Amino acid sequence: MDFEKLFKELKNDVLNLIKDKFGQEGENIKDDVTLFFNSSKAKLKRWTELLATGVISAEEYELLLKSQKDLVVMTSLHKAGVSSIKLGHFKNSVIKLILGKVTVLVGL
Amino acid sequence: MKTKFNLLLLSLSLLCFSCASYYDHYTLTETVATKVMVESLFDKATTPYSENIESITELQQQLQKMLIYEKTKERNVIMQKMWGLLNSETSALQSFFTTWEAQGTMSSEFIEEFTPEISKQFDLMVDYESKKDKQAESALLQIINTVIN
Repeated sequence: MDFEKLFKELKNDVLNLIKDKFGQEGENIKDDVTLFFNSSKAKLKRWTELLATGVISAEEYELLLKSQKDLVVMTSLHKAGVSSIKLGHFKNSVIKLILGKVTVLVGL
Repeated sequence: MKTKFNLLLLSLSLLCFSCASYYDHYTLTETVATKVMVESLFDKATTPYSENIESITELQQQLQKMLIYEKTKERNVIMQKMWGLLNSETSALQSFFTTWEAQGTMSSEFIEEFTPEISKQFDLMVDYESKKDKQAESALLQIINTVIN
């Protein structure tokens, strides 16, 4: 089995699917998908070999792929959540700054 | 004194409005506990599904309980979506139960590969919840100190 060929085809198929399904909007997630493929390459190769040699079943292989999809979603949520916390910190700093100035001005 | 109180009230209102949600120690400890339950159950997945129904039901109930709990909190969309993902029928975790039931047992090689992938999801949830800590406590204390002192 030529894994490199399979991996390249798989990556191109997914990127084409994104292009077809999301058009211009798909450009925004293309980098994330490429990053996902590159970071998961070693695992995908290992899992594909386990499937090809009959060590794991096709259903188990599918579960492993699903775990990567879920991990991408969870990572995106984490990223969005942490950004929101950072924004909260910034807002709090602004409030503290205003409050500090106001308390001096009104002589509290 | 009344001006101070009004200023404190206004500041706290602004602070609450600006936060995504507050750090919740219960969420943090229960997320860690759920991760331990998941890993413990995965260790048993090389044995027949029928012998583990009690533990599987216990974990499913824990996952549902946390989703319901997170939904009771306002401005908590991220955590709700995270628990929602784990409870989703199409998720890897839920599909795992279906496959385990259908196959009877799971291979040890699969468990070795699958466990760290699911654990990473819980690590992200724990990290996210723990990052809320500083925001909730230090900001609140500083504002209270500014007004009170």
